Amino acid sequence: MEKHPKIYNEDEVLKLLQNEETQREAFSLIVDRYSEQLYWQIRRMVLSHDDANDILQETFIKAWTNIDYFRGDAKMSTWLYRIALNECLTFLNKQKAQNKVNIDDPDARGVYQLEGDSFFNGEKAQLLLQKALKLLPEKQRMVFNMKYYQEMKYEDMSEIFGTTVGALKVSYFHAVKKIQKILEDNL
Amino acid sequence: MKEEDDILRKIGKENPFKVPDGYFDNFTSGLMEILPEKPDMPKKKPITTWTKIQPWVYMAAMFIGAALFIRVVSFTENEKARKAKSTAETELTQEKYVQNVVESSRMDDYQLYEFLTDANQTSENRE
Repeated sequence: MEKHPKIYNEDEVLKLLQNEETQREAFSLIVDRYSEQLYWQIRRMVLSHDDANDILQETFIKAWTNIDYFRGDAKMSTWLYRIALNECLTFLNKQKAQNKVNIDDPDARGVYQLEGDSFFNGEKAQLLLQKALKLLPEKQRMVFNMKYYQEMKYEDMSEIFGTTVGALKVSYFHAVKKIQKILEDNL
Repeated sequence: MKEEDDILRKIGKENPFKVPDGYFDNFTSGLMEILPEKPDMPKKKPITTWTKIQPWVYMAAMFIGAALFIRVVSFTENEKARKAKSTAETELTQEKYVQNVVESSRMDDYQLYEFLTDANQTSENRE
């Protein structure tokens, strides 16, 4: 069955959000609009589909629970990204603590499992890239993913992270250099 | 950036990750089913004059309490010092009194001893 695309207008959605009777409907439009892009951001961090699905659901549940605190001074996407990335960091820290994984180990849990993961379709170069990405600090990895894959503007990233554009540019530059070096040495 | 171009050339931007069929089509409906009823938000209390000055009143009460406590402690210490001084003075006075009496009676030590022991024997006879 074809899905009829709903035209998303943020101003209208925000008005619907303010009314208790239409709040749930408005939220479903928000989920429709942002779930896919948030999913990919999460997936690139946690690698596993099941984990990404759990975190994505948790992100929207948290957003729903706190929807009355959303004042509209930031964009809805910014607010959702912040929640999603915080959920990712919480998950990764918990994973580290449970597995006592050395973050510098490229064969750390998650990357190693990609080789046998039916939802991973990458060749050797892609696998090497994922290992290289795992070596980056988590926030730097997020910056790289947003810039390289989503081509997100630095100004938008700055709102999400609360970091200056300059600092983000430096972070991305260093991430690229590290990854390029690893690929050069191994391919 | 040269390094970025290098990565692009070797890796590209192809997404190596896959999702189950229909995942995104069904995500919203699945989520809305499990989405909890929003808990009642606490009613916002109206901001009254009392609400505005409350923290200052509490702070003032705290400082007054601290000042009173210091005053009580220092008063107690002064009282102790005063009593100790008074006891010392009393003891000194008693000692001086006895000394004066002894000197004015012109008793020597032996006479004083006899007096005291006689007094002792007298009290024993009474018993």
